[in-house]
Amino acid sequence: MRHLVRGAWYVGLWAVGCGLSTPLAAQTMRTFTVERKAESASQLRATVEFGAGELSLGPGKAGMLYSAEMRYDQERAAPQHRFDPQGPQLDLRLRPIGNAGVRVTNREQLAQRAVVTFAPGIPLDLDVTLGAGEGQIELGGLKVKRAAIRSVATRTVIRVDRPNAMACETLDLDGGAAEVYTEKLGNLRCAEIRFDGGMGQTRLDLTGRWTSTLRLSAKQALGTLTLVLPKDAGVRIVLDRTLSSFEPTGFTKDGNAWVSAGFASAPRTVLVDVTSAVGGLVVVWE
Amino acid sequence: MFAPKSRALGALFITFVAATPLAAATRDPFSPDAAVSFFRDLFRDAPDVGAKDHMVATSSDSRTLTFKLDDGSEITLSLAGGRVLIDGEQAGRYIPGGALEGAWQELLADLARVPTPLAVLRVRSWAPTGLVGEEKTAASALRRRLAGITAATGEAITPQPIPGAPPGGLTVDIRSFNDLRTLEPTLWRVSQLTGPDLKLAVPDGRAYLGHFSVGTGDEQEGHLLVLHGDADIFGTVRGNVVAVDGDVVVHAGATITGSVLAVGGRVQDAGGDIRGAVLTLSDPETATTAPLAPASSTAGTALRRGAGLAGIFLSLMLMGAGMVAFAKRQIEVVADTVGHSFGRAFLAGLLGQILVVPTFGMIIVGLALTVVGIFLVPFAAVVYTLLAVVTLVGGFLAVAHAMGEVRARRKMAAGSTNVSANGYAYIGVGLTGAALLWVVWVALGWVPVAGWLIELAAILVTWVLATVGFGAALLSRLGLRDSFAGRFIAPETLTDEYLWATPQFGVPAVTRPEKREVPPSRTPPPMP
Repeated sequence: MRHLVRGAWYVGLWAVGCGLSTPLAAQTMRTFTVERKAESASQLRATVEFGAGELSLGPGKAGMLYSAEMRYDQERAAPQHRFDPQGPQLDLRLRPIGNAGVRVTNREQLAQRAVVTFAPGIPLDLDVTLGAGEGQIELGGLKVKRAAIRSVATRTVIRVDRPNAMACETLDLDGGAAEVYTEKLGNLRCAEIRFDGGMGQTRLDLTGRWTSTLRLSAKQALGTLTLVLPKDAGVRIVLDRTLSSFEPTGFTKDGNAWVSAGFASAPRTVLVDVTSAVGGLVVVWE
Repeated sequence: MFAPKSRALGALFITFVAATPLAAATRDPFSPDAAVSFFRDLFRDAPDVGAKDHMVATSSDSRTLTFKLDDGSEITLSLAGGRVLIDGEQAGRYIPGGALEGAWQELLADLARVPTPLAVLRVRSWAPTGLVGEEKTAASALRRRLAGITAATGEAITPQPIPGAPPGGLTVDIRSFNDLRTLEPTLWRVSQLTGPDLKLAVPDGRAYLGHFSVGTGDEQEGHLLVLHGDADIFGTVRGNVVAVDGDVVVHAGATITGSVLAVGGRVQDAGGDIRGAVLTLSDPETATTAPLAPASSTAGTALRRGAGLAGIFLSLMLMGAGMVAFAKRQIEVVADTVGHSFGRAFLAGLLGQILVVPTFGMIIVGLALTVVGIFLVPFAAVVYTLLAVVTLVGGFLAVAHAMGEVRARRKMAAGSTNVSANGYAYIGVGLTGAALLWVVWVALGWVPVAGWLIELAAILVTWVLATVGFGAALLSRLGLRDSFAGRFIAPETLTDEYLWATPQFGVPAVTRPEKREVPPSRTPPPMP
């Protein structure tokens, strides 16, 4: 029996070794690049759609309205670039061929990568859709007027490391079946943030430099929603939960809402409306 | 001598060393030449060789492509009689009339009518699709060989305007780059044309072959398409500029009022003014930098198949051990059903395979027809699929259990005392028996015809075993019912008195009452 176990151990190692040593199968990768000078553009409305792979989005060089570099598998996807100077409006997509929606067949497909940048000083109305893969979105340094970011089955990290140069109207986040992780969303200086999550873990970090009142509306179907709130902010949470947990430490009940200590006298306030089906709401103070 | 851990690490190291050369060596990996070739290939890039001419030869059973190189040598790639030959040596196999032969034939048909520089471009980006198994591996070997070929120097194309196409002829519309999915393949197709075939219409623009310049002070009205050459812009272009297989260089003082697209090249902004967008689309990377599948050698194929077989064997063994540990009675009942009702189990399994999909459809439709049932459809789909998989895998393991048990009984009957009579051993022995044909296939699957026959036999035997197991699992309701397991004993035989007087099991030496002779009948014979 000992010999049998040892033999099985060697066979297992051998199989693992063979598996690791096998190179990837062939695929046909291409690189598409596009850029346009800012010229006299005073604003930009941009739609970015990336079916599968890794997307990095952030501020680019001054004087360049936008630039993009996409490495993609031409047997599965095709780039699409449209620019309408009236507006102006950019439509930049890497779509699965056949328009059959998001389709992830193997790990190789995730080797697709895209880097998209926008002019730092031009008001931006941004609409981003991520399919499967990973998204790294840096909104700090951009002049965001409005943003909508949809993640279908992606791990998406949204950072705002610098305060927005203009007040943002709304930020819409759609989590889908994705993990959404944000850092310093408060720097966007949005009047309202709306989050609609399906399944997965979500971390909404509302710290950053913002004043007055921020409204947050969040829906989470399945998974834990973590809210990171600034310590000096007064917070009022209206929670509609079905099978979700919430530890109201530091909050007091006020009608149908939970209110943090010093809410009335706080220099800035967060009005939170959370609907959570299965999972939980966790509040972290930073 | 060595500790078990050291041995394990050694085995892992040897595995890596043994597996890695398979990716680099294309022929016998154990020959001295192959060793030299392996180390040579390991420490240098693929050699670039200049092709000055190429030939295509086809016959009823072979299709050959030959490149003549600068140094007088040749590269020959051929599909002949089911074998893929690279420089005369077998690099794989293909199915006559299959996908690989079709793609190769299409490539050669194209190459037959293009000059060598274009042929080189064409073969470097050849990427046949829809291939599986050995054909895919063979295609990788072909592409790897083709990747190192470059056009010989001095093969530049003479600059010239491209004649316009007649009405209804080939048109390349470069007025907008909004639809790259359509534009790029069109540009690629155009770039493959030569000689009298190369005629095209460019709406609101012109097309040129080879290097093209717009001089200082010159103004080019309309869009500009340049094939197989650079577009050097010193003056003004009022429109879009497209270069295929070349760069667009926008020099200081130059102006392009539209956008610029370079396919297979770059856009170099040397201080010019580009009013529109700058787009580039690289050549496909498959033939140059993308990782390719390893070359197929006999030993490599056998190793990969062996690893796959070992993986499946270990997985089934683990599942079998789990079943013996946690569902011993059920697997024994299914195994007894296999042994006692083999034919019935096979028929039940066959019927089950035929009905499994229609039954699933009926369940889904039935649920969908009811209002409440619609919500149960996803649940039913998952449960049904799981049940089907468990029935199939569990049944197969039960067959293995039955095979192992039969072998153990026979050994014991032969007087052997060294027999492991437990469920784990039964399944191990049974799975080994079921895998024997596959082991033969791993070892000899590379032999033409015989390899296919062995594979066919292995598939057939495995299917029969799986069908019997599936049927036995169905008959026994996954081991919950033992009606067909040969375990039925009539209640009247279980009375203490009867058992005491007449043991039923294990004592064949019991003396049973001898048959009594029937006394002659006392009934008088019928009257005549």
